[in-house]
This record gives sequence, structure tokens and C-alpha cells, in this order.
Amino acid sequence: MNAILKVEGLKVEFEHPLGAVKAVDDVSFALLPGERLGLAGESGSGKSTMALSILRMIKPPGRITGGRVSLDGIELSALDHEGIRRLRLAGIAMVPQGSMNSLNPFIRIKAQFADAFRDHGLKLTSAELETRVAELLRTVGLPPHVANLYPHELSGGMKQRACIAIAICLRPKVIIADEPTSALDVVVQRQVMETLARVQRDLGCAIILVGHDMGLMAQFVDRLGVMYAGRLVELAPIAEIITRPRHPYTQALISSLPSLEKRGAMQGIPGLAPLLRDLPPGCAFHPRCPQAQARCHTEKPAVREVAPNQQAACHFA
Amino acid sequence: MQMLAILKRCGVFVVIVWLAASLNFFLPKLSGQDPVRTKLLQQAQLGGYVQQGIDEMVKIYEVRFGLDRPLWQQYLSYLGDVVRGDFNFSIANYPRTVWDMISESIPWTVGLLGMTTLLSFVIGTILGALLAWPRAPRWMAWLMPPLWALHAIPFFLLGLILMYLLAFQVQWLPIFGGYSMGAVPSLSIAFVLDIIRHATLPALSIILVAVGGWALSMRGMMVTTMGEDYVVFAEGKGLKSLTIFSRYCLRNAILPQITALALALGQILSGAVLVEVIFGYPGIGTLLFQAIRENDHFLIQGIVFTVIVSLGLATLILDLVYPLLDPRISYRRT
Repeated sequence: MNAILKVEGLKVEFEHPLGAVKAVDDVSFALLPGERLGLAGESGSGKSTMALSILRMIKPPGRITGGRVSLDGIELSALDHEGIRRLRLAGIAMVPQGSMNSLNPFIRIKAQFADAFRDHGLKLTSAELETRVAELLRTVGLPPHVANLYPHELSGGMKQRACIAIAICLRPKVIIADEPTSALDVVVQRQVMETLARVQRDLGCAIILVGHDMGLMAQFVDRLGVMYAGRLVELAPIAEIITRPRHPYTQALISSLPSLEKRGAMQGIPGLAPLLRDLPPGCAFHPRCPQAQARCHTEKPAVREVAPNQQAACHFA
Repeated sequence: MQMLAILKRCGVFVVIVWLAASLNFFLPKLSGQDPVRTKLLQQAQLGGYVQQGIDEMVKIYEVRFGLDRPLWQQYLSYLGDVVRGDFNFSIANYPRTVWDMISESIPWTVGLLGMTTLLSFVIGTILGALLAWPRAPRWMAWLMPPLWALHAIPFFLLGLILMYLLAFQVQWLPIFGGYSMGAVPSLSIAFVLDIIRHATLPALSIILVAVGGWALSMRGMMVTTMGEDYVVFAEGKGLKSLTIFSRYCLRNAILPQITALALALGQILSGAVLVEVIFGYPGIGTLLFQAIRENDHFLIQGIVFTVIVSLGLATLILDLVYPLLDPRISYRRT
């Protein structure tokens, strides 16, 4: 099957007085049509930056310094500003973080849809707009009168569902959801994720779910990518990652999860994530890695196929 | 429910006006000066010889102005007058009424200061918004230092400098007054042009100073707004730059500016004193200045009362309009 979204060697750097910070370092992956890909990693591992860079929404001092992103065969870096603008939402839509006030507090929900339709060249009469918005709201499980409300009149879960409805309003091929359920309680989280899963299935689009909730990932995604210090250190089907993680970081991550069989004190990963502008030489994970050898201190491991469909960036995986 | 809240606001307005009117009545009485006697003595001195019977004249005038009655009676009749919009006669310019003099000078002040306030608000707000916008033309960045510098100069000082340069040195503009000496006020084009020529200098000194202030505050608000999550999501929605600028940034950043504008408009009557006195503008500021110098209690009271009412009105209108601008604020909750 041909990939719908292809990311090759993507690099994002942030300028800093003490030298460039590589927030995303040489990340490659391919997203299949209809696939659900998870991107996990701790704070500062570059997962959100990567999500934004796919949409070309990196702001100075950040800069995309290399790599190619193509959607359905269209090379994004070849597009001009206007082309990228039209591609957002229509081609790749984003679902914002759940903890944020992502809806303009001064205009009604309906108008936030209308802005999107108008700027993407859709001329709708107010009756057409009304029915389309009501239909979209129904898809995410919201009653039609929500269209005439202001964001502050909605609960957190309703707001997030409204955001999902906006994201799918032009039937995108790819949805990028950056921690869509952060700061929502587990009940609402479940509802929002079910909504997201349903619209994704109905639309047949692919989805990239960014987050650090491994439980959520295990329930939702087909494949999981694990990021560490700006690199994609492991990428494999979710079942493989949970049962047979190859990269020591993924192994530590999985073994730190609580489970019904395990008893006793939980184990974390010793140490802290490295500073991106001051990465250790060789493998960035070696200071915290229980399996580190002399080679890891000097030689940066390349991403390689360690099993069918499973890739990892470790000398010993 | 909404109606009740609106009525409540109006009630508060009435109470404020009443309190202000009362203060306005009692404060000058505390100064201990007798305006009638002062005025008569002044005139007596001008006459060159000491007049007999000043005390009798003071008595007669006090009866005439009702100053001989007990304080509470004066207060009650004063409140009655206020309700009727009657501010009595001017002491210094008898038999002209205070209201006459105020209504004659208000158009000048509202014309000059209302216009300059609105103009500097519009120019400053747009400039400030563009200064914060990354896609604005590059040369705009050069505007910032001069705006800052001008904003730091008191406008009366800038007025004096401009007066020296434009009216005294190159003599492009008249130095004084609201219209040319000897011109007969009428609605002819020549007279209107004359008014504009006379207003240019004071207007310029106010606008140059005020624009910087509006621009600075708007720029700050824009920068804050542009960092909001809904602006990021708006960009993610693939909206046009212009839509994001106007509907997601400007629209939201402008609210504090509008509060400030309403207050500034309410203050134009009182803020006019310095600039009008410097440029000899026939507005309410000059009138107040003269009234204070001449100890014209009734005129001072009339002007101060007008200022308070205009400020109160501005706040009231703002209160009533704000919920329409910001949906998060409702009449009900407060």
C-alpha cells in the first residue's frame, strides 16, 4: 500500500545563543491510509514540534532545516505559503491539545466553522452553513444548538469535540491530534477518544496521535513511534512494542507501566531527559541506558530494521 | 432579568451624579471665600477709589443669588436646579447664565478633543496592531522609537515647541484662538477652513503624543493575543492571514483599548484645560481656567458637574456596550 503521508529525514532546529537546538533530528516514517500512528515520548522529546513541522507551523526562532514531507505524493516544501495554507485542514487537519482554549472566545462556534469554509474557498449560504455545521456537530455527538453558543458556554469535553468537528469539516486525509485529551478526566477522555476513533473510521483518514499516555496509545493506535531527544528511536506495531520492545528506552518505558500481574514497587527510568542543546555524544540515551557499552558513547546508532515492520535506533536491538 | 440589570446600572449612574453634585456644592463653600465680596472689591479697586456701601451691595447681591439663606435650603434649591439643568447665573459675567456659557464652549472642546482622541485612537490602534504583526512591512519597525519618544513628552510642552516652529518661525499656522479675530461665526466654507487651520496646531500636539500611547498598549495586547492557543488553531485551520489578523487577533486585543477610549472620551472635558489655555482655544478648559481665576463659584460648579456627568455617561455606556463586545461578560453575573 502506498503511504498517504511520508516523512523523510525531517529536521527542526531552534536557534539559541548557546548553539542550535535540534528539536527534531532526522525523523522518517510513513503513514498508511486509514492508519492510526501514535507518537510517544516524554516532555521535550520533540513530538509536538514534529507534529507542528508537518503542518509547517514552526515559528521563529524555530526552523525546519531539512527533510521532506509529502502528502499523497505532493511535496510540501515545494508549496508556497498560500499552497500550505490551503493544505491545512483540507489535507492535513490538526486537533489541538485538550487543555487549551483553542476556540476563539469572542465568536460563536458556527462562525468558527464559517471562517474555515470561507477561507478554503467554499461559498455557503447561511442555510447551507447551518445544515453542514449541524451535521458535523452531530457526527461528534453534539446537539445542533451548540452552533450558536460561545466557547465559554461549553464544557471541556464539548469544546474538544467541537474542535474535532472543525478538524474534519473539509474531510482531511490526515488528522494530527496533539494530546487531544490532556487535562480532561478519564471519562471525558474516553468519550473524546471514541469520537475521534469513530470520525476517523467514517472518514477513512489516517491519524497521528501525539501523547505520552501509553495506556491510551495501547487502546487506540495501530503502530507506535517512540521519540527520545528529537529522534524516533523505535517504530513498530503496538502489539510488538508492548510485548517485545527492542530499544532499551522503550523497554524501560514499558516496564515502568503498572500492570495487573506485576507486584511491588514501580520502576521508573533513572536520570533525566538530556538537554537538547547539550546532547551526550553517541547514543543520546546511553547515560541512562542499563545496556550501554563503550560503542554507545561514541557512535550514534542509525535507525534500522530489527524485525519485520519493526525498526529501532540501537546498536544492540 | 437583563432589563433589571440595565436599570440597576442607570440607578448607579444617578447616585454617582447626585454624590458628585453634592460634593460639588459643599467643597467650594469650604474655601471660605466670599465670591460676591471679592468681585465687588475687585471692581471697586478698578474704579480707582474706595466705594462706600460695599457691605450693602454684598447683601443685595447675596439675596439676589440666594446666598443669604441657610445652607440646607441652598443645597435643596441647588439640587432642584441641577435636575432642571439650571446652573444659575455666572457671578463674574452676570447676567449671563452658566449653562449659556458652557453650552457655548462645549462644541469647541468636543470638536477639538473629541476629534483628536478618536483620531489618535484609530491611528494608534492600527499602528500598534501592525507593529506586533510579523508580516507587517519592515519599515514599520522604525516608527517605534519616535513614537516612544513623543509619548514621553507632555503634550503642552510639545504644543509649545510646535507653536514656536510652525506658528512663530515659519508662520504657517495661527498661534492663538479658535478662529480669526474679526471673523463672523457662520457655516460658510471659509469659516470652517479657518476653524480647521486654528485647530491644527493644538490637534497635532495632542495626536502626536497620544498615538504613541495607543500604539504601545495595542502592541502589547496584540503580542499577548497572538500567543493564544486559538490563534495557533486558527493557523492550523488554514485561515488567511487577514482573517487571523482581524478576527482572531485584532478583534480580541482591542477590548482593553475600547475601555480606555471610553474613559478618554469621558475625560476630554476635563483634560482640555492645559492645551486650551496654551492655545487660547475658546473651549471649556479655558472657561474653567477663567472661572477659577475669577472665583466664579457657579461657573466652576457648572463645569465640574458637566465633566462628572460626561465621565459617568461614558462609563455607563461602556458598561452597557461591553457585553455586546465580549460575550464572556454578561449583564447578569455582575
